[in-house]
Amino acid sequence: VRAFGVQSNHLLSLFTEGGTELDDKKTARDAGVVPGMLLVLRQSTVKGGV
Amino acid sequence: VSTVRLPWAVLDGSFGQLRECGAGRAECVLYRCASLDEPDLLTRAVHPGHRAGYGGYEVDSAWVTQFFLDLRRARETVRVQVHTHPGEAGHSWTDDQFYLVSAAGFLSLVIPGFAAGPAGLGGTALVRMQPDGTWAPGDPEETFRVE
Repeated sequence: VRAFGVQSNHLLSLFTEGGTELDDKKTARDAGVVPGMLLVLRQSTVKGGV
Repeated sequence: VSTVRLPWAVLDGSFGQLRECGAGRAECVLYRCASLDEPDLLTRAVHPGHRAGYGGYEVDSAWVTQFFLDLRRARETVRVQVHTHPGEAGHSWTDDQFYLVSAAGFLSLVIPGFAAGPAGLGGTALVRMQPDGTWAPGDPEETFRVE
């Protein structure tokens, strides 16, 4: 998280280009991450309300 | 803190979109974007795929991922999250936790009354993300320069 200059937040997750959220209990290898793969670091859920 | 330039067309279009989608009975959300080369000039408002009701909204997860990929390709960034509340404007606990962008300087603007009032900054509530990830209140009139 620090490497990307974003604020630390327990709700952040990594997603594949296809929109699949990586399981943070798995290692990168077990999650299917390979060198050169594009991942999106984003909030797991985006919502709002009163 | 730098001033963010907000073209009238983006402001007015935002109100139109929020009113049309929410139809006076549901919250709505959109994201005001800027080029990475000129981040203090808002250029467009993007209306996400989402579902909403009287007291809240949730953005489609697949839409968020694709949106971030599109922003990367276009060299754009989201500077401001804008959403409506049914009554008075304010940043709720849910708003504090489940925003779109985790970056210092990110702005979140709440518009009261489902944006049924005149397009402008009156009655809105603004917060700005701090370097430690917390939110601090901001003054919409001082933060945005409508032009």
